[in-house]
Amino acid sequence: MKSTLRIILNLIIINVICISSLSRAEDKKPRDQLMKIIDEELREIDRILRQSKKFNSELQFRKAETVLEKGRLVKESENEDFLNIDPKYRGRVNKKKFFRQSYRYYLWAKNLAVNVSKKDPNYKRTPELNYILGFYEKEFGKEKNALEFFKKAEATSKPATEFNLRCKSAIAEILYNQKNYEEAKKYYEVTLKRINDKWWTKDSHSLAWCYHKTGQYDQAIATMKKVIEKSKTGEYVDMQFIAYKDIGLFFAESSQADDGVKYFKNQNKDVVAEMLTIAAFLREKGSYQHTLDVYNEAYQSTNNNKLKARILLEKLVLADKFFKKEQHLSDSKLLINLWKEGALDPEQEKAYILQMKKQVALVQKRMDTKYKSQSGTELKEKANVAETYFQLLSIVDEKNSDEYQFYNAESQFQTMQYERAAELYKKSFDDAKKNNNLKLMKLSAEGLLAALGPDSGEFKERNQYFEQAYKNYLEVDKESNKSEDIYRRLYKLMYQQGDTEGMRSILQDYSKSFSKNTNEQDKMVASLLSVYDKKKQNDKIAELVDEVQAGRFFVSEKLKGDIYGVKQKIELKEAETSIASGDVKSAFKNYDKIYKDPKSSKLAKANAVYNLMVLSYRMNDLSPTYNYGVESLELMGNQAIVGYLPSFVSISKYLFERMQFQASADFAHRVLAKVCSASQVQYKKMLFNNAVLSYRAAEQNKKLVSLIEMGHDCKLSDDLLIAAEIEYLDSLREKKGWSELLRRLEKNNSVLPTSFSGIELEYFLDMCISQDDSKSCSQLNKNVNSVISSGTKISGRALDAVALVKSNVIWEKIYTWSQIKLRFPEKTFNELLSKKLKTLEQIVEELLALQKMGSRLGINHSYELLSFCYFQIAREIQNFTPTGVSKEYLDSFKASMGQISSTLYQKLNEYRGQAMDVMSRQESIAPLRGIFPIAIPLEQKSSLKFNYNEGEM
Amino acid sequence: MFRAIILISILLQIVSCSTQKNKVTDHESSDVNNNASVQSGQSGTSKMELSSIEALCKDQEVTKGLKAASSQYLNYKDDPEYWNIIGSCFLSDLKFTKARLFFLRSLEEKKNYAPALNNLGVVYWNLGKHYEALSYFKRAEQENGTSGLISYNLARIYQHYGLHNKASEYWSKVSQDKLNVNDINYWASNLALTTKANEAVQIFKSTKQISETHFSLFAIALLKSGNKDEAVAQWKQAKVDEKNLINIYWQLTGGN
Repeated sequence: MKSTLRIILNLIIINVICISSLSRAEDKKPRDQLMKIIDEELREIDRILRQSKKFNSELQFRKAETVLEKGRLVKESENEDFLNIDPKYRGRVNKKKFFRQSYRYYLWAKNLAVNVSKKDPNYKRTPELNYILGFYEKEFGKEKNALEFFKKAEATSKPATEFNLRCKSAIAEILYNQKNYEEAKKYYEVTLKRINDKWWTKDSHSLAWCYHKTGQYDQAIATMKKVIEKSKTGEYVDMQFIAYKDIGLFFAESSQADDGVKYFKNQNKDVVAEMLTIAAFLREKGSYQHTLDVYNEAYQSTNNNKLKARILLEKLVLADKFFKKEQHLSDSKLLINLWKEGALDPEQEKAYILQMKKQVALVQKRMDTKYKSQSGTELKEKANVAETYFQLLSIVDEKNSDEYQFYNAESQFQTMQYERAAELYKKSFDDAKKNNNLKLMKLSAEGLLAALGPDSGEFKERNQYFEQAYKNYLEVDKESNKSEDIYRRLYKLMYQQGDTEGMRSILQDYSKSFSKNTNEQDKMVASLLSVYDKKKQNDKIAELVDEVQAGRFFVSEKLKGDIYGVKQKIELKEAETSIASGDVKSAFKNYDKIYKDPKSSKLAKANAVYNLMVLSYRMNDLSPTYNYGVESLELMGNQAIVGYLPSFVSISKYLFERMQFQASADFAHRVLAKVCSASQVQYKKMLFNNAVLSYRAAEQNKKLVSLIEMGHDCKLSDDLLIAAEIEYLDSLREKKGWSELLRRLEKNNSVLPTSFSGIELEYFLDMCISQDDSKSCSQLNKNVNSVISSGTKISGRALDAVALVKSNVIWEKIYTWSQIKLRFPEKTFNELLSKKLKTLEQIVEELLALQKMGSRLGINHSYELLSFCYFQIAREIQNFTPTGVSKEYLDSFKASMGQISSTLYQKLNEYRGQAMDVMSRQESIAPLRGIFPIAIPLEQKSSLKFNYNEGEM
Repeated sequence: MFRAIILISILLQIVSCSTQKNKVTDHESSDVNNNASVQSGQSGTSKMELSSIEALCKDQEVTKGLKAASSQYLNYKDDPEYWNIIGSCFLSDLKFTKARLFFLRSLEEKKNYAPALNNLGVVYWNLGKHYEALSYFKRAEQENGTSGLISYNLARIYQHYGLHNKASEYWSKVSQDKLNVNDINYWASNLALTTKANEAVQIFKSTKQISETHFSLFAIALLKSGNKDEAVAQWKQAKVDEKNLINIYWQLTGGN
């Protein structure tokens, strides 16, 4: 039983002393097994102790050792549990409480050991007890106390024994941990010569470090080489991993890098990895160039992209540490290609980004205005460096590319490279927009505006950015005072470019954000209309005007009104264009729209309706021509009508020609009324004549009279007025309205010039002839006398009237003359005949005088009366038969009278012949009195013939 | 000089209102008469022959004829014949005043257009303005001296006033083929009152019918041609009223 315990205890002790540093590597399963053994051992010790009534120092000592070992195993378990706690909560754990179980075992072991020392001061295992106490102190981090206990144990133990060496080994470890390399080295040199167990490699590793730390570089390297070599055998704890790493450091630190490279190559190790280790060490030592050389050597020695990437990353750290900007930039550029090929893991990528961010931050810091002494060239160089980093960052850290573009832009702006800055601000805005980074969008928009602000001569493409700059800004700020200004600027830009769609869009946005600013909206609407107008986009104008009218924008009432006029102006223009292109129907539609629009001004309506009249005329549409014409006269001012008189006159004529007599007359009448006082004599004359003739054709006598009165008021010429009067009088004559004709003639004496009196004679003549009443004829006589006395020039018909009056006078004489009847006795007969012949002679003279008047009627009457007289007297003489006379007397008388009558008949025939000649020659188609057949008029029993065309002639 | 109001002789331009400065007074002219593209086809009426209009009026379908004429305005408004036909339609309807205006309109297109001149003569004759009528017939004769129709009208006017020799000149220019029985009676009567009594007798005798009013003239023609017995017989058949001046003429010619 004792032998079994001994074996177990030995095992425990070995574990406690030698394997403590490696215990973590042990599996849980062996620990549990070990724990069972220890528990069994403790139970066995306790059983024996219970059986023994005396204090058994040996058993107490063994118990102390066993409890200590159990405490160590418990702590191992606690450590594992502790490390398994989520790091987030690990810091909050109360360690005293957490490790309280192992603590109780350590304390228990210590108390047991102390108890043995007290109760049995002469106990032979005092060194071992001190060792246990030393271990306890060491476990609780009290290395100083531990060292004292270990030194006591070592001093009191038998030299050169295994226990003594273990004590030395424990002392070496504590000294090493306390960085007392010199002292530790002494203990290690002793123990390592004597102890060649599997832990030799571990302790030799510590010794190598002791050499290195005390400047014994060669010994250090040689010792470390031994550690590596022994580790390879498999008989020792394998320290190769850490040893290779540390030997690289030793080579590097001892300036034997080349030897190190050779060593590693000989060892067939990953040279690059080892060189990196060396370089890292050199870097830490502050040897820039040497480190750089190692890195470069390592970079050249491998084709592995991942390694190359790693090297470059290390170089970045190096360059950063030693402020080697160019090197950093150069390596950053190299690294991007490897990054693109996927050579960097996420952590490395993070490091790469951080490096570049740090560098660009430094560059920007150096560009700050406080470094005023920098020249422009220097600043630009820095900006270019910054830009390179930002470009790289944009690639590697794409999700933040918007920010990099922005900061890049800021750098360019700082160095007054406005064009580049503008380009970058634009990009950063676009990227930020993609990322929905509103803050950066706004910053970028403001930056772009700022970049466009300075008038830099180098920024030749400056104008190309304004539009985008304004749009960007408005995308992030629509309602500030600044955005209000930006709206205006952008609108102006669009206006200059003639971009109507853009203008319209801005107007809409502006209206939403600044609805109360009617003045600005007025300007915008007006300018947009002007551009539409220039582009002849009339449909757009109409659309905009409709929108304005519908309250789509907040403009002034005045503008609304003005705009409406503009729309109509356009519509009128369109109508004119349609007319020019022959599209009369379209033009008509446009004008009609304006005319019927209740919002149209009177002027616009007048324009429209006038043109509707013209178009109706062109379309040969009668009623509309008249109706629109009348309406246009109502709407147009008199002055305007005067301006278009030729058109109105033509319309009047057109209506007449289309046989719309009443409409033609009415229209001309209305126009004349409008232009009565105007100076356009010729057109007024045409209108007046048209109206007169049309009223005549329409048999509208009352209106004709009214028109003539207007003609007087309008002071038309006498000729015109007389011609009109004649038409009226003719109409009365044709209808045999003699009483009205007479009344009118009497009235006209006072209003028409004296020249009209000659014309009046014609009507009196007609009345006299037609009615054959005394009133008419006496009126004719009266007027003839008046005309003759006034010496007025008269027409042929009027002369006929004068001749008729004279003829009537002569006829009365002839009548009287004819009443002289021949009778016997002979003397009486002779006297009467003589008287009659003498009177006839006077009558003939008067009739000849009548002929000489030149009137055809006078000539005809003259010959007729002459013939009548001669016929009368010839027949009276021929037929006279005296009574109471002898047959011889009677025969003689008859023979004499026959000769006389024959002579008179001859004279009669002579006059008849003359009459026929003269009448035919002079074409005297004047009425005869009808008292003697000098000619036999053949009354018309059928109409004269008219012809429709020349072929019928 | 005041007797005839001449229809507007100047072909005026219709001008359309322009919108320049939105003033009615600003305008630009456009000659509608030259704008064939505007006019053609816009009346909505296809072109019809003038003879069709003529036919309607001759058939006393005057209203229809005038309506048709109006519809052809754009097609014919520059044609004197068109206006003459319209005047003739009115004339056939005894609308002398209206007829006068359209014949004058015809003369606007062609100032010496003989048919219109003749027709104006007819109009004025019917309005009792015989001097004007004679004047137009004479003008028509100047333009077309060979026209039987103009000669006919002149012959009738002259004989109406007893100018039988003058009338005889014109009767001789009228183609007999175009004379109806009544016309022939007038023609023969006119000759009877001239020195061409024999010719008158021949015509009277050749005609199918001597109207009652012309028996006296036939008698005078017979008398003048030496056929007294037959003349007397005819004279008796004529039963001329005693107060009729032709009695005196008969006596002066040698009748009883």
